[in-house]
Amino acid sequence: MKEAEVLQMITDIDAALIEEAGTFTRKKKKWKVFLTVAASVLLIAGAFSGIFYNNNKVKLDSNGKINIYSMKGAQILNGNGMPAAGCTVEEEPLLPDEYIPLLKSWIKSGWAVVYGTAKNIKAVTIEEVVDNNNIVWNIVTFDIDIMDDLQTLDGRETIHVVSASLCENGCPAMELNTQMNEMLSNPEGLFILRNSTIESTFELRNSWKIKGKEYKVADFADYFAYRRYECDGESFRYGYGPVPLDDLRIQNEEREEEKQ
Amino acid sequence: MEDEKIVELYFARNADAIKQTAQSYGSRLRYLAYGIVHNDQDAEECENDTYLRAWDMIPPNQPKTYFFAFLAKITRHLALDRYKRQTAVKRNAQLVSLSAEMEECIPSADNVDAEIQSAELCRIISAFLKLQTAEKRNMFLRRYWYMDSISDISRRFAMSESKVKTTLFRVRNELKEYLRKEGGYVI
Repeated sequence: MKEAEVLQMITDIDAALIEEAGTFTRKKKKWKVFLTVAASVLLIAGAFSGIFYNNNKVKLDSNGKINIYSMKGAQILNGNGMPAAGCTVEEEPLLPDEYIPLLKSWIKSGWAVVYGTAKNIKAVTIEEVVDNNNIVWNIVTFDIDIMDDLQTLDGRETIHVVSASLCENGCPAMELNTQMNEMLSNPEGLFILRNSTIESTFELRNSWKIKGKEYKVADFADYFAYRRYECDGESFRYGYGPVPLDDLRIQNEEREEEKQ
Repeated sequence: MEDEKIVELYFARNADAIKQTAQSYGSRLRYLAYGIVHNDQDAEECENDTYLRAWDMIPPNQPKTYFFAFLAKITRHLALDRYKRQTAVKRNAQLVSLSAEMEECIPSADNVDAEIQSAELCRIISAFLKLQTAEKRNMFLRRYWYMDSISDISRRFAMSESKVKTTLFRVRNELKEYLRKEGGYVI
């Protein structure tokens, strides 16, 4: 059987390494010390969040970003309920030949494209009435364990991101990619991320007014998750078929040229 | 009994050597073989063949320092040989998947036919693994040498399965790059 051969080729690896792996177990953390330090950090973080956010009753997570569960009027969503019906958008009708250069130009201007696994997913919906309009916000925050950052994030291993959709009277005003919803059942994917400090010229504004309070996107995360695509690490599924990830890589020379 | 003493028994051609080896390492060798052949009887035969092969190889070999690794390599070779010979085919899905992951980063057997090239490949992979953190190095070996499942590794390393997959993915990519630079292997 062919599959055995490639595995057999690595049998004669250094004996010392084989011995080590034979009995290796990860050292357990010293929980007493860890818990003491963690409790101290939480107390300090709690104090700071109290100082800065007490009036609006919004709490910060340990990463300094807003915990969306604490937002006024937030109802926690789970499972299939993530984005409300009517607030999702299907794929853009661009051909890959048009879309890939577009993505590359975004990457050059500070966007990031990463292949990774979503975890710590939090989702809320917030409803309000503004000027007789029914407004529904769906906000999602999560972390991405990065497997391949396509050289756009300088080797970071994890990134905290936010995504959102907005419906006015049942019509989408700010849209969430349908595939974002699917990460609940399949957390792996290719994520197109916009740096939350970059000025936005279209639907993805840089600040959101929710329940009378103005929030900056950067208060939620460093990046806004704009799109998610199914991805196997080699290529991602875009509209008409798989597109190789290598097509999105920006070479260093190309970056330098862009800077100049 | 200590490894050194067991090896001395082999040198003295004392049949107790095999009994002591079985007592010290029998279950681990059988477990390793079972992961490949997925059959109790075949795994047991691999274990017994390992003792016979060790009997023939010591002397001249003197594996006093890494005796388990010496035996485990024999078992692994025997089990993979047995797996290749199996004709009543029920392919081991785990092996197929492991092999596919390995082929992402190391040259396929078709391209490395000479034994000496395989030895060189092992030398470079060993050098690469020594540059990694203990956690990454051992995770890689548990997966691709001992052929543990992702869930077993997740328990052993006390981390989520997704974290294990992520780490292995990165190590494979780094290995691929290292092989290209150090050995001129282009996958």
